[in-house]
Amino acid sequence: MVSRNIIAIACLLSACNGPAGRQADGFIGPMDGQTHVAKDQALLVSTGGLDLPEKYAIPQSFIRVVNLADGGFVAGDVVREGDDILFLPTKAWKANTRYAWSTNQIPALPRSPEYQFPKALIGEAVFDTSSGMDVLDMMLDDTRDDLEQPCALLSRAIVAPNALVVLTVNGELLEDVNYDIYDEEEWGEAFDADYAPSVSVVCFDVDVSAGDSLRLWWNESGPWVATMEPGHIETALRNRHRGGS
Amino acid sequence: MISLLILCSLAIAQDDPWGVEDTSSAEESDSTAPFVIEDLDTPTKEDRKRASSGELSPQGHRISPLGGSHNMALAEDAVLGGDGGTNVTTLYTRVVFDDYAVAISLPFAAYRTPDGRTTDLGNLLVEGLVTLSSDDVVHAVGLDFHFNPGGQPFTWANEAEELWPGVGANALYQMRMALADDTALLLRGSFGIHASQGFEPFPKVYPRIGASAGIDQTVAPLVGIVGETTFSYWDVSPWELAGLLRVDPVTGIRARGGFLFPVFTWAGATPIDRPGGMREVTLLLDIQMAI
Repeated sequence: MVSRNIIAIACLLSACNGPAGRQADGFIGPMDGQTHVAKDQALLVSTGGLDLPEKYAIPQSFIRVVNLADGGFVAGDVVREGDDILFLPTKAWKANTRYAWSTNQIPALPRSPEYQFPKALIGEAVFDTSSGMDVLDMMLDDTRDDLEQPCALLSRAIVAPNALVVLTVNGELLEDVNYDIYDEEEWGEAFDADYAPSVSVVCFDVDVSAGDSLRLWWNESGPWVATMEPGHIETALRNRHRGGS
Repeated sequence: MISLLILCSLAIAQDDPWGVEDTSSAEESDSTAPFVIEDLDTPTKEDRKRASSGELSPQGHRISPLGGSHNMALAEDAVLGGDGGTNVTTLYTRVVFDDYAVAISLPFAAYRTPDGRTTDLGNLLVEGLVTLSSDDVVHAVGLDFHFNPGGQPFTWANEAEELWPGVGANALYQMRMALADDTALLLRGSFGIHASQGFEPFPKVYPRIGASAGIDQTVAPLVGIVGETTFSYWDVSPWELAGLLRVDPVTGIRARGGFLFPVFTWAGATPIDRPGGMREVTLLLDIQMAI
């Protein structure tokens, strides 16, 4: 009891304001594969709890961005805003351009606080400023109404639901396909208000079983082909954002 | 011994140093009779105070002085090498009241950050020691505590509690023993509890136990060398060796210079996530003045 009091007093005196432990629910934005990214959108690494002194800077080498059209590094600043780390490009993103960006494990300076980023946040991702749409993942998801239905994670938000959708199952064309469109927030996890709605999920009201082959056209885009396997769009969304469990 | 010498010198300087006015008794005594050695063996506090005036006691890098006079010091620890870059300038003052001594030190750090070099105040350390005996073997016990007066220097030189913002206290024991006329053994032990702001590699709350041993060897009338080894846990540099040369150009002024070798840091045996290797050594400089 005495030692516990001493520790409590010591904590009070030192204004113990460090995090008790890192949260594992960091994420990146835009997510891997996202398209239709705004020209002025910053790249975000939300750490979910940065184990560093307040205002302690993050080295510029933490985030590297490459223009995949010309292979050149993109100039910009890595800045810290609380538990978030941003990459602010010096100039706006170029239109209709695909970029790759990486978050890198960085060594601490000698005699300095050590960087402890969640491992899931370290890696590479791509994004695109074009308005093109891509299907990033497709699976049999039972999140909605406890029914297994084929759902696709799209690379951008869909604002006009009256799209021309063509769907085949095992090569057989389905007519009058009904579908619902959701934004990412409706799948139980909003990765950041600034980025929603940034992608969409479309679920088709068709009878499909595991192992069936789906072929999808969306307006003039496609086809995307996938063999149906049970899964969860929420998990796919989290993986694309590199969110922790 | 020192008080005895001083009293003897005072006696030589006076016509009638011992107040012996009865000439008949003086005639009955032999030539050494006025020196009643037995009565002078135990110096009074006044004797000790007078004797220690202007005297700088032996001390190590982490071992504090015992006895001596009030003093001030300015110290510079510069970590040199590839893993260096942290410089610590410390203002130190110590006042002595009979058997009690209180010392205050305030370090000021210059160090590297991702934004470039910066400076900040370290932790204010207050240390109080009570001398329990002052024969050839001097024992002392005390306490120290540190807190941060507002700086945020998230760095360190070789000691965990010096700069990194935090608060804590230690119970102290020190000993100084004369091994020979010109050699003193210095020992220090401490244990305590400390809290920091908990960013890696520092724990939020940690106990600390430390032990230091040193030798002060006078090699010439004005010159001496000091060797010290320190083990401590939890610490950023658990085991280290220090060597210093001290020079007293005039009475009451002492300049010291030397190096600290962080042996366990070189071996990679630290709580810091860095591989082993000899990438640093700390230059130690200080100048002390008795007041």
